[in-house]
Amino acid sequence: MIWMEKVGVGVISFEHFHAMSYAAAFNSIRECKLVGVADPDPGRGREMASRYSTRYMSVEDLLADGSISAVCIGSANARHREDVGLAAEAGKNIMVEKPIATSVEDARWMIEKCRKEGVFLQVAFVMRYSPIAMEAKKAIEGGSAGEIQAISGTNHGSMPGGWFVDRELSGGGAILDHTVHVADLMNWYLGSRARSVFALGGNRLHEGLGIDDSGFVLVDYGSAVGSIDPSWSRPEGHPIWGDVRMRIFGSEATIEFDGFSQNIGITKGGDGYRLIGYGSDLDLYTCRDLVESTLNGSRPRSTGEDGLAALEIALGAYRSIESGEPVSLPLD
Amino acid sequence: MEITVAIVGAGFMGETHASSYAKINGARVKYVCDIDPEKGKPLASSAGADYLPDFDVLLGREVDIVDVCLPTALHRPFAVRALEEGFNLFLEKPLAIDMDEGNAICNASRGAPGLSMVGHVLRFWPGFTELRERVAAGELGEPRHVLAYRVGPPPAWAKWYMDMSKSNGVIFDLGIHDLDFVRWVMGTPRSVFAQVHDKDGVHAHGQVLLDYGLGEALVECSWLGSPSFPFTTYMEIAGTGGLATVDGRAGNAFSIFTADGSTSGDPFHEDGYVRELRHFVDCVRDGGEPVVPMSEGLETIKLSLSAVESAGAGGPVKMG
Repeated sequence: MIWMEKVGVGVISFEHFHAMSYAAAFNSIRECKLVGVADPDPGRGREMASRYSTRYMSVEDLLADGSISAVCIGSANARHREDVGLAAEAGKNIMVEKPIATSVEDARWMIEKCRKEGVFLQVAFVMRYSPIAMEAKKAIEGGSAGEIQAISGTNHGSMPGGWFVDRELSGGGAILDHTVHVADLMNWYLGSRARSVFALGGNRLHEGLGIDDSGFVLVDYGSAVGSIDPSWSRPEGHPIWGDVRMRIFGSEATIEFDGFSQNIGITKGGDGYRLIGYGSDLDLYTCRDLVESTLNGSRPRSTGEDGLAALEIALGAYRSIESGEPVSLPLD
Repeated sequence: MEITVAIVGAGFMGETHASSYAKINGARVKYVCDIDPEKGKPLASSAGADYLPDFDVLLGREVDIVDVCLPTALHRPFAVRALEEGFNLFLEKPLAIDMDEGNAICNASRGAPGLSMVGHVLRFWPGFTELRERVAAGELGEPRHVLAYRVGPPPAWAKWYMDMSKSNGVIFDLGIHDLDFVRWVMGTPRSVFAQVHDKDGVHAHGQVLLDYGLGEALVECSWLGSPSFPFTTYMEIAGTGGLATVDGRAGNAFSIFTADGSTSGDPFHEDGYVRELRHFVDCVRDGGEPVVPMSEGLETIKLSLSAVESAGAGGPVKMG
C-alpha cells in the first residue's frame, strides 16, 4: 500500500446535516484528502468549504476532478438517485446518506447503475460501525447468543424540521428517517430478509406537521420477530437528541445496548440539563470505511443492497398504515 | 377493626400477597388454603396462619377476604363460589382464562353481598400511578404514543405458564399488565395486532400494537430473557405537549451491599402489591368502591384475548 498517495474525497451537498460531521471526519483521516465540496446552495457551499479548509466547487467540476476517487452524498433523500447516478458515471466510489432513496425503484436503479459503472455504493448506516453494535454482531455470528428469537429497537429523535418534513424531498417522516437504522441492524444481525411488516403511525405529536412524526413498526422474519419505535418523540428541551437502543433475545443470551449512553451531563443557565456524548465517533468510522474500501478495492460494510432491504421495511410500513394490514416483503 | 384474609393458592403470587398483607396495618392472613400441603403449610406457618387443604372447609370459616392466587384456568369455580358464599373477593389477574369464564365471574359479582377486585397491580405501582395522573392532568397534551416493555426470564416458579391452555402465553399473562394500564389511560383501542415468537408451542415473546386512530401503543412482553437478565419494565407516553418516561430500572432509593455478596433495597419502598391490597382492605373495612371491579378485568381480558387471537390470525382484530 502506498501511503503517500491519499484518497481524494469530495462531499456533494450539505442538505443533510450529517454531511458536516462526515466532512470533519475526512479531514481527520490520514489516508484521505478532502479535495472539495459542492452544494446546491453556493452560499452554504462556500461556508462549508471554508469551515472544512477545502475548495468550493460546482458538482460538475467536482465530478470531473481526476484527483477525487470517492464522494460522499448528503443531499435530500429524493435527490440521491440523480446525484448517485452522476457520481457513478464519473467513476467515483460513493457513500450516500440513509435512507438510500425514497422509492424501491430508485434504489434498484442506483444499485444497478453503480454495478454497471464499476463503482461501489455504500449506505451510511453509521450504527453498523458502532463498536457496541459490532460486539452484538460478533456474539451472534460467533454463536454465543444462540438462535435469535426476538429483537426490539428504538431510534427516537427530535423533530428535525426543514426538508425532512417536506414529503417531496424526504419521501416520508420519522418512519422513513428512523426505521431504516434499526431495520438495517435487524437485517444485519439476522442475516435474513424480512417476510412482512405491520405498522401504525402518522402525524401525532407536532400539530399540523403534515408528515408522520411517530409510529411503530413490527417486522416478521419468520424465525424471529422485531419491533421498532422510530418516533420523533423527543420534544424541544429533552436533554439529548434521541437514542438507538436495542434488545436482542437469543436462545443462549440476551443482549442489550444503548448506542448513545456515554454522556456527560451539563446544566447551565436557561439551557437546562443537556447530555453531551463522549462515545465512539461513528461518522468517522463510516467515512474510514469509504476511504479504506477505495484504497483496498474492497466492499464497504453497508452496501446499496442493505440500503434497499432497510428501505423496503420502511416503505412497507407506510403501505401497511394505508391498508391496515400486514404487507409482504420484498415489495412488488 | 381487623380484616382477616384467606389466601387460596400458595404459589408465587400467594407468597407475594402474604408478605404484602404483613405490611398492612389492620390486616391479617388467617388461612392459607392449598391442596398441596408442601406448599400450603410452609406459607401458612411463615404467615402465622392456619393451613387448610380443603376450599369447602374454608368456605365454612369466618374470614373477611378470600384472595384467590390460583393459576388462571382455575379462577372461575373458586371465585364464583367465594362470591356466592358472600365473601369479599380479591382475584389475581388475569380475571379468567376465557370470556365465558370471565363473564361467569363477572355475573356472580353483580348483586353479590361482598366486594370484589381484580389484581391489576400497575394501577397501584409507584411511578405508573404518577404517570397516569400527569397524563390525566393534561400535562402531555393529548397522549398519542405509548411504548411499553415488560421483559424478563421465563417464570421459574411454576410449570403451568408454559402451557397455552392454562396461561394463554406471555401476552395474556405478562403483557396484560401493560394492556390493562394502557387501556386505563387511553381507553379501548379500535383494533389490536400482535406478533409472537413461540417456544415449545407457547407464546414466549409478544409484540402488540394497539390502534387508537389518532395514536398508537406498543406493548412488548417476553419470557425469552436469559436467566441472568433482570426483569425489566419501561413505559413512555408522548403527547402533543410533551414526553413522560418511567424506567423500572431506576428509582431505587436505598441499597445495602454486604461483604457476603447479598444486597437489599429500600426498606421503606412500598410496591404496587402492598398498595393494591391495602386499597382493597380499606374498601372492605370502610365500605369503599374497589377501583378495579370484575367488569374492568373483563374488558382487559377481552383486549388481551384479541391480541392472542391476532397473533394466530396474522392480521388485526377489531375491538367491538
